[in-house]
Amino acid sequence: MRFGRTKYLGLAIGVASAFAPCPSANAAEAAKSATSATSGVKSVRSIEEVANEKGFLYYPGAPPAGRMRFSLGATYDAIDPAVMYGMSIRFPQLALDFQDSLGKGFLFKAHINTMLITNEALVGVGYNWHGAGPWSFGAAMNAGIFLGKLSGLGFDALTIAGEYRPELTLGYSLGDIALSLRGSVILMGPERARVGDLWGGFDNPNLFAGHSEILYVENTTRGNSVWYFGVGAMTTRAHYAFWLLFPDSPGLYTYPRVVAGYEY
Amino acid sequence: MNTKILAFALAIGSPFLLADCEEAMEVSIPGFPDGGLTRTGTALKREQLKTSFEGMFTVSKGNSLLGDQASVITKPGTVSVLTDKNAGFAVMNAACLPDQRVVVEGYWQYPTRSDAGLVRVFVDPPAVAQALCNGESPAPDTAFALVGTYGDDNDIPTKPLELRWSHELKEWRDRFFTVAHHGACEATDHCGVSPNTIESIRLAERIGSNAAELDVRVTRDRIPILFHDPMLSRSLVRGLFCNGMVNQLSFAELRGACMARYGEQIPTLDAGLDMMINETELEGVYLDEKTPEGVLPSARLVQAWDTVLKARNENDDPSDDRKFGMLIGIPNDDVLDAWNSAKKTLEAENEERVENGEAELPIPKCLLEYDVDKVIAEGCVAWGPTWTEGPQPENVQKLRDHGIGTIFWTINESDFIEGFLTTSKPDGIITARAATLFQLYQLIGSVPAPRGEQP
Repeated sequence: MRFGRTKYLGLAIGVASAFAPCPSANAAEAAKSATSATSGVKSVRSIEEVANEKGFLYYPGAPPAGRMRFSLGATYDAIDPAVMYGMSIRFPQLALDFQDSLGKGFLFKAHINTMLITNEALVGVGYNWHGAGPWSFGAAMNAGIFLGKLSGLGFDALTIAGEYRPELTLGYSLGDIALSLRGSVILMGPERARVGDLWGGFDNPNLFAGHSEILYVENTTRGNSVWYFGVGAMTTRAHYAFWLLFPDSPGLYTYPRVVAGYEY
Repeated sequence: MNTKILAFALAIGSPFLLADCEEAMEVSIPGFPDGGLTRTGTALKREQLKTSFEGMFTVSKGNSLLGDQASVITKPGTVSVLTDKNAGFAVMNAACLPDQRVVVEGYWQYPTRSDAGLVRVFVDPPAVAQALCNGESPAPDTAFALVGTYGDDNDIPTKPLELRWSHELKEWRDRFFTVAHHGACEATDHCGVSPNTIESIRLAERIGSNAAELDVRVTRDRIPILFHDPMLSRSLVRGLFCNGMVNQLSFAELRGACMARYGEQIPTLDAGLDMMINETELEGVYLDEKTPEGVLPSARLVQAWDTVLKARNENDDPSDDRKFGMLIGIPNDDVLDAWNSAKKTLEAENEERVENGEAELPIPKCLLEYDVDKVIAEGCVAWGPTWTEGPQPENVQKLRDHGIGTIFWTINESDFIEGFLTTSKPDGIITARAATLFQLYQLIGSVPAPRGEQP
């Protein structure tokens, strides 16, 4: 698929990353000076420190039990008009994440993304392996609900489905920047829909609804917070991307996803 | 800084790495390697196909392919088997062989999957086959059967298939509209034809549609073409230099740079109407006007073709009579404004014709997709609501009381097709699953009153 304008969006995100709010400290500097006692000014924190103290949303860390992290972000899918019956309007989704360390690398996770008419809510558990070097690895299993509802604009429709999302993450630390490549499999079912008073199912229910591969970049700050952004590809059936159509074709479409947010 | 450069490179590189990830959707329609037995036979006549083959058949062998019942319909040169199982269909040719057997062979397909294969059946009993070979058109009865085999992909068919005639089809021609959604299939299907193309319309007729919904846009030089999206998306077109917005290319540029996804030409509306009127038995078309700019040129073409049809139907030669309805589809107020403006222009031109002693040309009819009251107020002959608001039986009946028909768009799921057929009993449904809709209409649908006889 040639993405046209979306390529430029990816390019813009990339360019923006070079100007992301992270100081010019390199990895060695960051590692040896978490704070400057003489000046009283905090330096940017290293990935290693954050991974072991509070953890990241994406880079697999192993914080002590009870350490929590929230994040607020946005997700934008540059969906091919053909998937959306030619509709060219795209809305970003609000993304909320929460994780609570259970200790020894285990995590409780919760995720919501919504654009009001489309909502996904997932909870899950994960395990992170974080060694002494820059590499780390995480695995998680999430389950939840996919819910779409719209009354108005030519719709009196609702769709509801179970959603299951196993995911693997490979992380690499660059000092004060973490790169994490996360691959997820999107499974959905059973799916039901309502139009007016009429309920029904789909002709071609297929548990496999798609997969995603996103590269995340997380920048530490002087505090415990983290900026993140990511770009990657979603490969999904059309009804995951745009449930309003309830299409029954099993064709998979690839489209870019751009995410950005702030971890508290 | 090196880390930033790496992050930067990865960030900008990933979209490029992901380019060309689109799943290949190309399909090949199975065919007999030697052209099949029909190559050696004599094709049956149109009237023979219509009289002798059409009906509801019980599937006594091959249920895993077709389910328990299947409809058989015919078109010029083809016999089609339609089922609601996976929206499956078989499109076949029929011919009398030199040994007085009648072979019906072609391919079957599940359009939402990549499953397809070959079918070869023979008319049974032999006496019926002999009658067909003698040029007769025997009416089918419960002894009539199609017996043979089917297979997968291009393999020579070996699995047993037997369809036995059960009863006549419920009235559907000129009654219930199985409307092909921008041709035969969705863009995500595996039909081997692209939406809004001549090839797609031809297939639509063979898989159960008796009308088509087509999308109209205009090029920069105001030529109405059949195309859905405002942009030339990779999902719909081919061509290295086929980019940008449809309305920013002249028709010559579009023709030179672009092909539809499966390699077909992007047709003009004129070519589409010509093909439907002269090469199919479709009963009508619903032109979904995607932009206000397309309304007047579309209306002029409809007017021109209406004039051609009128002349054909009023001459002394009944063999060229052709009943074909064309509706201008109005999806929003912008297009409605353009429609009212176009009507005024056409009416003014008619006044000039009358002043010059010429005959008036017919003003095209409209279908409005949204407000029920506007459908009545604008004098449209049909309402085309989206199915996503539900069956709305009260509105369907309200319009029926005004002599206005209802055609829902676009229902592809069996559960909902069944629900709409039984709840609101519309005059038609737009679908990309024509075989499913046709079969479900036959099984559970209500036959709408003849047009013109509705209250």
